[in-house]
Order: sequence, then structure tokens, then C-alpha cells
Amino acid sequence: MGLKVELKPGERFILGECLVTNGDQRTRLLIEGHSPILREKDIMTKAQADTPAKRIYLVVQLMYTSPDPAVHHPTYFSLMHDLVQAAPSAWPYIVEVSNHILANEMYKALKSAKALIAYEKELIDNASRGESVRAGRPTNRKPA
Amino acid sequence: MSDIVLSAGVRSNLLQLQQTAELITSTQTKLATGRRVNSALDNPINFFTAQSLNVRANDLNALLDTMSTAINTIQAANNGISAITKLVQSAQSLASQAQQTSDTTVRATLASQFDSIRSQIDQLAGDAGINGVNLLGGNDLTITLNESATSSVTITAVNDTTTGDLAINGPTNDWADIADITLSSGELTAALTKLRSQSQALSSNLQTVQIRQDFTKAMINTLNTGADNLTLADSNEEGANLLALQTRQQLSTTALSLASQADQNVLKLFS
Repeated sequence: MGLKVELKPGERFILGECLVTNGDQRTRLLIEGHSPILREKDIMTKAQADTPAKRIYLVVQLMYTSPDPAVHHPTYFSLMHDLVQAAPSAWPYIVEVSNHILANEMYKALKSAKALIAYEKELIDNASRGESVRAGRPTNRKPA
Repeated sequence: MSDIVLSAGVRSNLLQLQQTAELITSTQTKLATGRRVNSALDNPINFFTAQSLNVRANDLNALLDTMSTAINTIQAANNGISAITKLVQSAQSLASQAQQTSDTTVRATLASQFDSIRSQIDQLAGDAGINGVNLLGGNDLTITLNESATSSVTITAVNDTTTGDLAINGPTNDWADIADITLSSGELTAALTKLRSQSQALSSNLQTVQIRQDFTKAMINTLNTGADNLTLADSNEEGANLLALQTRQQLSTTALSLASQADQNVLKLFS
């Protein structure tokens, strides 16, 4: 069973090691096989990756699209170490991402990294809003 | 014996004493373990999360042991293949010696040497296992890659005996006829090709497992520090830390290497 991709005019996506750009009309594609596929909305560029969690997303994305993912492991662990030092409670998210990488399920790892970005945003927003939200915080925490 | 009656003042003093004693005990435990949260009563969420992280690290350690054994098994098989390759090569030199003489007595002697090499090959193939798993003797090896055992790699075993995958038959007619020698020589060449491709497949499997092993090791290390830090977690502090890290990372070497890695990736087309 292949993957169905519906593209808007001019929409781009990554297929394996190629960038595919749609022409000027809507297109429906059926893709079969094992190459990495990344929709435009899921792609994080170097410039967009400006927070610790977004950088982790970027490196997972590099692993997903790279022919040799192991090259990116040291960078991944360095970023992960930074993040855990700064925000230990993000651990359950990091573990989830790592487990998917370990199982070679890179697309799932990307999904979990997206959840990590959301969690990071929550923490940063809370910190900028001040102490008042402290009481409500821990309920949102995921179990490990 | 009559009951001892405590006045309200004494009672409250006693209560305070008890609380102080509890505080001292808990401070001592904190000092001894280096953790702020030691029991489920201190901070339930952090405690249980930290606990489960520790459990996870232990599970991963068990996985790591499995991977190490697997690596040893693959290496044993690979050593077996190189030893068998050498034997096949010396069998081939016997065949070419036999081709160079027309003396049937000499050929018969060479043929019997060839036959003894065949049995050495079978012995080697039978001895290439570790812990009862012999990749050259038909025992497949399955390696679990995550704690929930949902991901695993299976390395399919081969049967490197002369009657199995290698298909090297005994010398027909004691190599009396030149055609008999050519037949053996052809079988040896085919066996060498097969051994070479088996060895390549094993090396690539070995590399895969080694990469996973390194990843798991790094994960365990960070998992352990993570669990210890978690007991110190405070969400406002964390948010502030993240903001500081965000600024600090912009100039870090990790961010620089990340950027250069992105430039070498297909992502560079996406700008």
C-alpha cells in the first residue's frame, strides 16, 4: 500500500534525495517504496531552527533524509544533552524520539520531535508569563 | 498502669520535635543520594517520572548486553568465514598442482589431501558459534533493538559446509582425469565467491548493530543524568534555562556543525 500525496499548485516535497515541485495544477500522487518523504509543511529549514527543540527536529530530519544517518548521531546527542540540562522535564519526549530513532522509525521520530517543540514552547511561554501559572503546569506532563 | 496525659503545650512541642526529626532524616537522605526528591511523597510526578527513567536505563542496559553478545556472534562467524576462505584457497592450490602433473599416483595423493581439507572446512563451520548460536551452521540470530521489543534485526544464518552452501564435492576418481580436477577447481571458485559475499553481508550487519549499540550507550548516559536532574525540575526555571540556551546555542560549535550538515543534505534545495 503506497502513500497518497495531494499537492497544491507549486507545492514542494522531498522524495529520497530529490526535491519535487508540483506544476501549476493540483496533483495526486501515489508513492510506493521506502524512500524518505517529507511534505513542505513538515520541513524545517536551517534558518527556522532557532530554538533548542527545533534544532533537534532539524537533526532528526537530517537523519531521515540522509543516506548515512549515523553521521548525525553525535550532533543529536550534543543537542539532546543541552536540552536535558536546561529542561529535565522534557525527558519523556526525548526518550520517545530516541526510541524511534533506535528502531529506525524516522518518520515517527520526527512526529515526536514535533511534540517536543510544542512542549518547549509551552515552557518558554510559561516562563515569559511569570510565576502565576506554576500551579497548573505539572498536570500537562507526560509520563515517561 | 494509668495513661500518661500530655498537656496541649507538650503535645505541640512533641509534634514539632517529630517534624524536625523527619526533616533531618529527609535532609540526610537527600545528602546521601544527591537527589531532592527521594520518595513518592516529596513530589509524586517527578518521582515517578525519574523512577521510570531509571527503569528504562536498566532495560536499555539489558539490551546493550544482548547487542554485545550479538556482535561477538557475528564476529565469530566472520572469523570462521576468513579461516574457511584460507582453507578453500589452499584446496585450490592443490587442484592447480594436480593439473600440472600427469602422474596419477601424485594426483591421488593430492586428492586425498583435498579431501582432508574438506573435512577441516566442515569442522570449522561447525565450531564458529558462540552461546549455541552458529551463524555458519544454520542458527539465525535475532537482535532486539528497543525495550518494547517492537524492533529487531534478524541475521539469516548460512550453512558453510562442503555439502551445504559451499557445494564442494569430494574428488571424483581420485583426480585421475583432468576433467575431474577442473570440476573441483570450478566448485572451489564458486565457493570463494559465495564466501566473499557472505562476509560482506556479515560486515554490514555488524556495522548496523554497532551503530545501534553506540546509540543505546549514549542514550543510557543521558538517560541517567536526565533522571537525576529531573528531581530538581521547576517549570519556570526550565523555561528561563531554555531561553538562555537558545541564545547560547547560536554561537556553539554544535549549531555550526548542524548548519554545515544541513548544507550537505537534500534540504539545501529547500530554501
